[in-house]
Amino acid sequence: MNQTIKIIFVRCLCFAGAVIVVGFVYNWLSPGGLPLIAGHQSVIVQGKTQDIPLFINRKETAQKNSPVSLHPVEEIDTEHARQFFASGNVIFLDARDYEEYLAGHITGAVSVPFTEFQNDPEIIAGLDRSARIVTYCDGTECQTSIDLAVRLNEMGFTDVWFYFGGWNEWKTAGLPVMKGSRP
Amino acid sequence: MKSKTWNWMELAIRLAIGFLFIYASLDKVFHPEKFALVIYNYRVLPYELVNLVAILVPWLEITIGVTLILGIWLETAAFLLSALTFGFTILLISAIVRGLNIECGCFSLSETGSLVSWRRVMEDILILACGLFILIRHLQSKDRTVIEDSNLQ
Repeated sequence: MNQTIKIIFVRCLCFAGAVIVVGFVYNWLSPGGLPLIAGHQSVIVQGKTQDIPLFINRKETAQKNSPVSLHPVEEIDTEHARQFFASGNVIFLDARDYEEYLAGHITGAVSVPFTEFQNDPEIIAGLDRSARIVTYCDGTECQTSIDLAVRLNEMGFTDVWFYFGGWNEWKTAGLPVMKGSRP
Repeated sequence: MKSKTWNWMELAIRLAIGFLFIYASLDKVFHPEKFALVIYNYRVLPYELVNLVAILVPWLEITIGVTLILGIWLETAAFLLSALTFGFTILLISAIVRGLNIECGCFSLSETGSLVSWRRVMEDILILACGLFILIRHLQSKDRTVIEDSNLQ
């Protein structure tokens, strides 16, 4: 039995070696290869720095070095969000599930459920990359507004903000809301 | 059952699991960035390690699949198959218990709605059972050879 365990152990090492060599070589040659360690974007959330990982593939990043961000992804408070809203020159993106969006959202907001977006980033294909974008979710207990904002920035959107107070604070402040889907 | 029947059964299982593993790895090989995101969403690994796992795991699956189909180093292939599937099962259960509503990333990455679920856990347990079946058979045959070898000496 000891003999067998020894054989299995040695062969496992061979497996590991083969997998590591083939995996790294393929990743290196493939146009969609990943950096070995994912990059990240540091975002300041309520005074604390959070690292949000970036998973874009290497070659794509190289291709689109050009669109320079106007500013890093930044947090805004309710007052700031209200000013953007009043200016009319902004697209609010609701990162919550579609059911929650139907039950009530910031007037004029577009539903981009984060889980759906992750599976298929093309759902935001219609958006202008230079538009002013504000993402939000429920509020301070959820993270998806930040994740969505960073992903959009990673995809080349240059003017992205996240409203961390989110739906809860907007509603509490008595600002314009609507129900159901947009006509 | 006769040992011949067992042999045929083992061959069938080997081919089925072998091709299943190769099929399961293809999407991950072609879309590593999607797979990286799936791994990250399990919230088990720090993001620094996610890409390494996303690069290597699909090739481990392919290697296991190929050896199962070709019938070489079966005890090792079966051991790795069982260990890997056991790991996947634990991950799945932990995701369900933590209430994560995330893509499983088990077989295909492109089909939506393939979320973590008890059904996926059952599938994994079935694959684990197949892995252990092959492993036990080959441990037995190895032991027999070893004993025969020592008798000769």
